[in-house]
Amino acid sequence: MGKYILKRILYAVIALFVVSTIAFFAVRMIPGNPIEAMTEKLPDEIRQQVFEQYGFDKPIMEQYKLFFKELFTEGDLGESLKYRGRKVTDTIASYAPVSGLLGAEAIAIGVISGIILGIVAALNRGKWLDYLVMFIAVVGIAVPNFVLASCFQYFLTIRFHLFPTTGWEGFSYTVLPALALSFNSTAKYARYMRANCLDVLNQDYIITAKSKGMSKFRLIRKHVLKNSILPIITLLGPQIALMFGGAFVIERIFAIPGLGSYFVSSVTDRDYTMVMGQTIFIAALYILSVLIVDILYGFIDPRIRISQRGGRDGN
Amino acid sequence: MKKKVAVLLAMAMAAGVLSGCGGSGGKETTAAATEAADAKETTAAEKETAKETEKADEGEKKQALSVSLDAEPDSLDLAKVSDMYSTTVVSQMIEGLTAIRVDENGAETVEPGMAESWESSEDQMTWTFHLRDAKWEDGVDVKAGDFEYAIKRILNPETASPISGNILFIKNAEEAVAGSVGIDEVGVKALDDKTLEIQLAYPAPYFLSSCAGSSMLPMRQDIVEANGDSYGTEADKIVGNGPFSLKEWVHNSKISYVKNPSYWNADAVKLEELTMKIINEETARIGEFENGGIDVVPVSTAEWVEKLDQNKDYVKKVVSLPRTEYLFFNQEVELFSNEKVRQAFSIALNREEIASEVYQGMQEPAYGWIPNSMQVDGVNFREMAGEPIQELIEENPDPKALLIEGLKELGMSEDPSQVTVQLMSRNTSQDIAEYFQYTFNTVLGVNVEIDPVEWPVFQERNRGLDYEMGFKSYGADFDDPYSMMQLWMTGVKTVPTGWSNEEYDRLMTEASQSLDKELRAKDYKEAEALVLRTATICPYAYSTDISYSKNYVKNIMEPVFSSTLYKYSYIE
Amino acid sequence: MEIKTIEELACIPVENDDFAAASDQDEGDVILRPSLNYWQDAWRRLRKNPVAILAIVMLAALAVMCVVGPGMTGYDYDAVSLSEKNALPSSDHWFGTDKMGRDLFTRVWIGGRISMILGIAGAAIDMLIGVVYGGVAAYFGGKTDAIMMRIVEILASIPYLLLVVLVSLIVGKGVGSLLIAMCLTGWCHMARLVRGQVLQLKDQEYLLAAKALGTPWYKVIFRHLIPNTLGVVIVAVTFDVPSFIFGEAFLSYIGLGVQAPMTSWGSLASNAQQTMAFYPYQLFFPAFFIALTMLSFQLLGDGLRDALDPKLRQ
Repeated sequence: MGKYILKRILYAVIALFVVSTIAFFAVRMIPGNPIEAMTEKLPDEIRQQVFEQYGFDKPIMEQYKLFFKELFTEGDLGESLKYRGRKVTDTIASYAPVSGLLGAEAIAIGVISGIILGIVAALNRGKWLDYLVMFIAVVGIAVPNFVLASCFQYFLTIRFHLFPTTGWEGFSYTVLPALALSFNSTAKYARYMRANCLDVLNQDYIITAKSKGMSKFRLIRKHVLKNSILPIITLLGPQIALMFGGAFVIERIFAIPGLGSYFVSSVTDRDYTMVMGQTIFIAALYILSVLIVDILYGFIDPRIRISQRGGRDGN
Repeated sequence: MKKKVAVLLAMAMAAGVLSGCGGSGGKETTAAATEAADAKETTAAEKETAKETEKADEGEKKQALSVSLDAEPDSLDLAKVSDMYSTTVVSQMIEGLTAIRVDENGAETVEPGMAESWESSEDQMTWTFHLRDAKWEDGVDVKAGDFEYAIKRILNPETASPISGNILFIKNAEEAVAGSVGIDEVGVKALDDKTLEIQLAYPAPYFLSSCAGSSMLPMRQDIVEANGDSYGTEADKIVGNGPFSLKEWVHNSKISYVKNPSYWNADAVKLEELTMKIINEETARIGEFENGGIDVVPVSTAEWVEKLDQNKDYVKKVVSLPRTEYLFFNQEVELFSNEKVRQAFSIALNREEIASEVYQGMQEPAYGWIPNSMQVDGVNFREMAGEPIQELIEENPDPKALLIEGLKELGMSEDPSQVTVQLMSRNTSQDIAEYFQYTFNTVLGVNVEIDPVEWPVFQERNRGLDYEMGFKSYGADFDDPYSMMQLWMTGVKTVPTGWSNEEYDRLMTEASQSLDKELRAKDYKEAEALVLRTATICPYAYSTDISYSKNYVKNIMEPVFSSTLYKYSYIE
Repeated sequence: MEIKTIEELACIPVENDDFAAASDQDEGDVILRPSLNYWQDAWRRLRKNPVAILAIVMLAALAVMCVVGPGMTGYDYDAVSLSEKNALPSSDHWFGTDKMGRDLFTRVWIGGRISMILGIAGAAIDMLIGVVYGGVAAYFGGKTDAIMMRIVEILASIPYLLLVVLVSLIVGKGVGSLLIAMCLTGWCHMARLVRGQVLQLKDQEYLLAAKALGTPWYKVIFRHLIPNTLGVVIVAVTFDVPSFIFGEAFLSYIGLGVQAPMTSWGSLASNAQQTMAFYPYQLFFPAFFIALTMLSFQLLGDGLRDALDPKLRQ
């Protein structure tokens, strides 16, 4: 297992390198450059000077080498081109925890309530409770989260002052955005959980277990949960990285200083260094979470672990 | 087995949450901890506010003001940035040689700031400022050298400052920026610690107000050099000498100040606390305003104006901005090389309809290039120069006929429906683009394709003359027609259109270098008429700024050409 | 250990059935008959499910409205009429008008075309690529799997905003470029999902037996493995449709979506969101039809899942 993990980490580093290379050239291929984004009143000479300051006058391959040299020797991702003087690493360090906390809250709400709702629905298949849960799930998926977020904001903060309208200064500020962000994933997990529970419940061994008089609760805990948790975990990995990049609209609406809204503006401002830095950060997070999921897979489902060892122990 | 599964399940969930912290695991926990601490603070603060409000009924109000900022400031190192958010933030904490005061009627006067007094030579080319005994926040004296250093830093080509264009009236400034003379040749000199001499390249009538503006604020050489590139990136990486001290800057979230007790005129400053909350979305801003989170809010949607108008506790303020929205044509495109074609497009626009229907009364219709709010040597420019586009419209009642005439002159098909024009538009201003598309199609019969692009691309293509027709807005930096009109002089590449006119250049040069008020007014008027009658550009709206404040907020000053100032504001 | 045995026992009836059908036939029949049976069987069971049929009817109705709806009112979807702006729903304008005075009924159905095409085409592309890719990767395992999954990881970790901007530069702006940009990485999650499922199944005895009897790999994958993963895949597809529709809405929100005056449900909703407090109906109609479409896909997905699941065949 240790060797396997080590190998995967090596792969991850290679993958990261490839991603950052793609991003490096991609961001420079997009028309418009950061200097154009600054101000229309910039005289040509100044434009030229700024260009030189950032080394954009150098051939692109040289810029590329320089970027990775600085990254590997000093762990430095450079300075933002828009927010002049600000280190990319510092910026990520100050915005990422906000997105992380918001994301963690949303994922926790989503996974826990999703699993519970999914099981409830599966156990009551075809009954009103099933329909109710699935109706909630459908609404959760069908309503775009910006609609949901603005409804929350309008009704719960402006009409009735239950929560703060905007900002990020404590727990009460996180409730509505986390809820709005989790709604969709709650629905997603609930539906997956239901589908998988039904799958498992139809397996003959469960029927056997049932006929042996195993209680519903024990049945779920013992067989259903274990067997249907896999797809949930597969979904969870990408979701974690997505929380960092995907919460843009919610962060905008609630004026939350997170990475999501920042990434979008970095792209529109053509802030090359910021885009690179955030791409590497989000990609690393994604690759890491996939790695963790894969390892967990092995723990939860022994069959996979076995097949990864390349053999099958007699049982 | 049972237990194992449960444990693993718990682990899986924990891992999900944990890997959420991913790359910055350590930071995550600290953030969460601070979060908790903050939460406590907030509740405490809220209680305090509640208590304060109770107290207020007894007559005493807490002198704390909260306002909103539409976006994160780029940097507080004003030499390196040009966005209005940065200048707004810095203007509260650093004071220049002079200061602007706006009275209740909106009239602006220049009052002494760091300079106690000043005098000028007869030709108004040399100015001498005498500084008062004032201190920076950290106790260091404000010296004339701080001004000299700041101005030279902006003009130094190595700084590549985007705002150097604002102070080219200083002697040798233009040459220094271009690198043709050394930075020491620039006409700024500290004669001693308390005396500053500034020599000008030409007599700029707006010079004293510019001294209050963001391009001429003092900077501390020791602080700038100690912080290097990171000067002005955090609250503790800059010092001020103004009415407020920057206490905290939570990036993309909020900026808070406290009153600066060592400010020379601290007695006149009544606010104890000033907070700027950074909120991008208008609905959220207004929500905060209605909830009491902020005390002042800018509004740009007619529906909100209507709604907020109904509340008697809110005070509405409308300020005409020195900004004009306009369409411009690339004259290197065959179609737009013809004057009649351009004129047809200009007069096809129903400017009243744009103002009342598209902007729902939030903008004023424009029939000239220089906005209502601007003056030439103390005289309102529009009153002096009339409405050139109105005249154009009266002379040519049928825009379609004019277009067909133009097409004939070009030797193109005389059927307007054969004409397809690309309209380059910012991807954020779709409404008005769709309106243009519709209007040009119904009035002129031409087809318009909207080509929405992001701002940097818009700029790049504008500069490369890689467009057919575009629209945007332009705002003046100082109260002189030159600020708006230099845009169309040959060689100025801010908004290239391929238009070049010797007569226009001559008028502009003559006007900008003359002290003869009548001649200046006449030249500017003629030059404006020239650029509008040839329909090089077609302005259609002047921008206004509408804001609401709670009725207990008093005396917020909004100078037309510089940032909003809160130094004399108070809570009643 | 007890459970393991039961689990293995449980597999036997299924495997016997499938396995026997696959191996006893002549070459030609092997390809045709059982698969025909399989789909016929699925269709037979789908027809018996009233909810699924309702979903199909609803989707068909929505599709028909997207085709004929824009022509029903006599208004052009891009006809600006400022005097009628922000009008409430009435007999003239059934869904009211937007802030440019354009008829919302017409615009909703024009937008529906774009959203439906994007959602369905996108999900179909995702499913095709994802299922094949994931199935192949998991079946071969080892190095092939490792390399294929690393490629997925790299693709999936490139921020999709970058791709959208880049693709629109290469392909030009429009529905096609949006579709390409969103599909470029969209299939990755499907591939991972299928891989996970196949990994779970591939060591089951009936597959080992099939392999031992020399059934070619593609047949094992497409006959045995993929049908067994279809349940999960179909549920995933029903989520994929909204993710395309919402992806487009998100891009509209930041100004990179379908370009005006063309519209989509997503962009109608994101435009209306800003004035939600004043003109809720402008948000309601596009949001309602998004929801209705989603609901239909979900119900259809559930129905299909039940119908296609080989484990429910007897």
